Amino acid sequence: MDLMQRQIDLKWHNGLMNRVYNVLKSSSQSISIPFDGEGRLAVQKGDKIKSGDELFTVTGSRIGETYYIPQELNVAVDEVKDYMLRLDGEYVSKGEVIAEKVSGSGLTVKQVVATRDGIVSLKRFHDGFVDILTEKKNHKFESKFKGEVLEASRQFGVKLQVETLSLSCFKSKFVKRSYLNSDYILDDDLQGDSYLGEIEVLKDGSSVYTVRDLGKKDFERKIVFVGRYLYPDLAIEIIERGALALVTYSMDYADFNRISGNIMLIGGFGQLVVDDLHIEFFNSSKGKFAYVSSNYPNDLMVLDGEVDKKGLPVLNKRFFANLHIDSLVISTRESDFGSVGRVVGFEDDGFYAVVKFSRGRKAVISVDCLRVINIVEDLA
Amino acid sequence: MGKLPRLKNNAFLKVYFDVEGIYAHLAYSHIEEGESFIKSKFIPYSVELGEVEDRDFNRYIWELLKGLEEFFEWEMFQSNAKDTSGVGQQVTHGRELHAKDRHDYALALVEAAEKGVGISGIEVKISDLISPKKGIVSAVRDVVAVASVKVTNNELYAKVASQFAEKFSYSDVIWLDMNVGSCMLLRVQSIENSAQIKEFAETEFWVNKHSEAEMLEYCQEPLVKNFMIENVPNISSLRNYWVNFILSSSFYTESQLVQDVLRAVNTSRFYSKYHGSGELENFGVHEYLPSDHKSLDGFALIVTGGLTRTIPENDLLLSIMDSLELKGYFDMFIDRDERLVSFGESYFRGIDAEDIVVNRSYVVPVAKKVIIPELPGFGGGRKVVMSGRLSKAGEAAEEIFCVTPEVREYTLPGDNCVLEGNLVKGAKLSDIGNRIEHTFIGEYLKFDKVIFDCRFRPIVYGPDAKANRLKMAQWFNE
Repeated sequence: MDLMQRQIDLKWHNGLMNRVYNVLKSSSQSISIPFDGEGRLAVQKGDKIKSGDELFTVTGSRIGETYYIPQELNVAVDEVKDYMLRLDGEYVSKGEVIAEKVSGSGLTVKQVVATRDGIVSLKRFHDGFVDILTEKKNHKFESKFKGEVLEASRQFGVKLQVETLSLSCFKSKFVKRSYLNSDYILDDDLQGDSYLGEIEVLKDGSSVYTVRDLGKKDFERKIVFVGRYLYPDLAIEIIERGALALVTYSMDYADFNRISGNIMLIGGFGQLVVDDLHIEFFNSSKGKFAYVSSNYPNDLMVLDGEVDKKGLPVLNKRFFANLHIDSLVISTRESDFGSVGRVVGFEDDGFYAVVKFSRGRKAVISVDCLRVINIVEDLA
Repeated sequence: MGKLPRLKNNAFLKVYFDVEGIYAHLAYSHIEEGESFIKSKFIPYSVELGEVEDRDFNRYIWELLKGLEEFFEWEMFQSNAKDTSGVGQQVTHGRELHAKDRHDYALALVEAAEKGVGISGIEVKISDLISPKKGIVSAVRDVVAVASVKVTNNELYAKVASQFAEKFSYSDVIWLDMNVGSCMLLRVQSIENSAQIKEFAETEFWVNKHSEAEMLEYCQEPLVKNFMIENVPNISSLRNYWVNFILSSSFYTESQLVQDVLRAVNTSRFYSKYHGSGELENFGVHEYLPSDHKSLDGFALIVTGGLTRTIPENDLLLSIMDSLELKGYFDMFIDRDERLVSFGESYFRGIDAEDIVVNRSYVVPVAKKVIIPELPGFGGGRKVVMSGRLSKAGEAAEEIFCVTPEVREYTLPGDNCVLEGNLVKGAKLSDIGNRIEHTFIGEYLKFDKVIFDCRFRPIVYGPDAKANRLKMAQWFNE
């Protein structure tokens, strides 16, 4: 009976049953674009639209600029009213002071200055935001991605169904920023801090970059993939140039905590090696729009995201996935944490697997330090 | 009258949602043929239970149970759904499973018929420390209406510990459950009630749980650093390794550095709680014993939890002995598969168990006898304080000895053997004296090792990892 038990134990190791780690998840999301003002719809229910198609034209003011007063003046949200110098609906010109904090017996003055002409809106005042609205004019609202119109009405706006591809992230953090994207609302995510931005990739995303590699590029409202490893000075520079969020494969944990910005980490902490899978994904997503939210902190949702399914392993739809030759795996071993590779053999009665990583590197790893991965899981 | 278990071709599935993952056990018994076994599998939570939405719990449980069916290669479930378009197809080994109608996850049990086919029941236990318990409980009941669902808390641990103590004639049992993010200590002792009848009562219970944010900062805590022995060349690297380990939730590591942090964390937690408290004062030492009593029995230490799988056994033992500042003697049982929690109640009911009759050898781990003699003086250098022998009938005896300040381990020569020895140079066990005589009887309880801890007390760590490393080398004679 002891022998039978031992054989069973060995078999369980040989056929390690572990959970599957989904790198990419495809699904459909419903996105609403509120109709705020007078105007006319350009689409109706059932229309199939593509990027650039007009959705509606609205006559009204739009948010031209947003200021997050607590961050600008270093005050609490409920203290903002004590420092405001403008009323709701008041017109301001570029250069005029909107809010001011005097401290140090008058020695130090912090001001929030309007960077454009417009009407002050205190609609989001209780959350600490002050908006400058543009003058009323016709705004043509175009879709930034393809999808199908689920609803279109002057009362509620336009609701689109969009195919998304979500990339799993290891860890992320979101801080309240000076602007929130209020044009788009993911219908499953009404309460989160959410950002919709265009994906930008530094060079080809495969290396470690410095501030010098940025040139004079502007990252206003972009979600930037910064490559294999993110250094703090690069992070700060890109954030100051307007990026909504930074995505990196790895970085130092202390830096991650220290930097004030939205950061999404794909692989893990420390100096890790990024694999071709992730590099190709970002390069093929360049220019597309992605949605990130504090309510879905581990998902980078690429709208209209695509991945070439040719050559990908068969999807593991089981709760447990068998580990076998050709399995795609991700390592949780310290020295190659987060690396994606393929099993090419087993050793020591199946307790160890030989894994081939990118660029031909091979390693012998305990099967307990490997997770079988799915490249794309269909959540439909 | 309660339901009697099947004695012929009986199989039972037990699933335990513990803090770090799921322990699944399939037990089989065929009493007539004298055959029984338990197969166990630990599954770490790769998705945090808190991230599973309420509407997805049914699917989660359905997938888990069907996955276990395939993993154990045992036909267990059939679908209850009226729409039989693929839901819960009877499994043959290797066929991929589909759930076309994702809104109906109800499963019925396939009746136990022969080895590989059917189970007579399923029991799901859920740790009190995890959330969301409610989601799991209702999902289990939705998916398998006949499943028994229980929440494990100190009452269950106390009950099993008391039954354990009574069965194996212990008067004092400590149960330690040690995980990366939580720990528990429970103690039951034999006391005389008002009718002067001996019964077991829970005399100490402590549980400590940390948030993820707290776990991420463990490696920075001063008390943890005090207990570490590994050299840390780069604090930043250690922090990165440590955070990756915690956030990946695999709770398995081969990194000596991370294992050292875990050992140090575990030691610091219990030390902070119990150092100087006196609450475990008389564990390992009888207050009253007949003068001719020489046998080393009466005290048991049960150890469970994720750290039993992650930390090497020597480190685990050291962590426990030094954090709780134990002395005297006790039997240590390391249960890596949580079988005592899962099967304890069944085992201790014996033939009256309502689910399945299980064999002791599959439920009760093999024990180690730990002996910690009192030593005179402090830092008295190397000297032999115990000499003795381990003997088994029909074989030559093995001479054993112990030297200060070392921890020595001897493998027992067999299931039935005798330990005899004399503590010398002032060393003694305060309730027994300096003569040790103990007989190990395999049919009663299995032991594999006897461990002598002849380090001078109090054990002092620090001032730094290098000093600890030197002490460790001395303790284990490396």
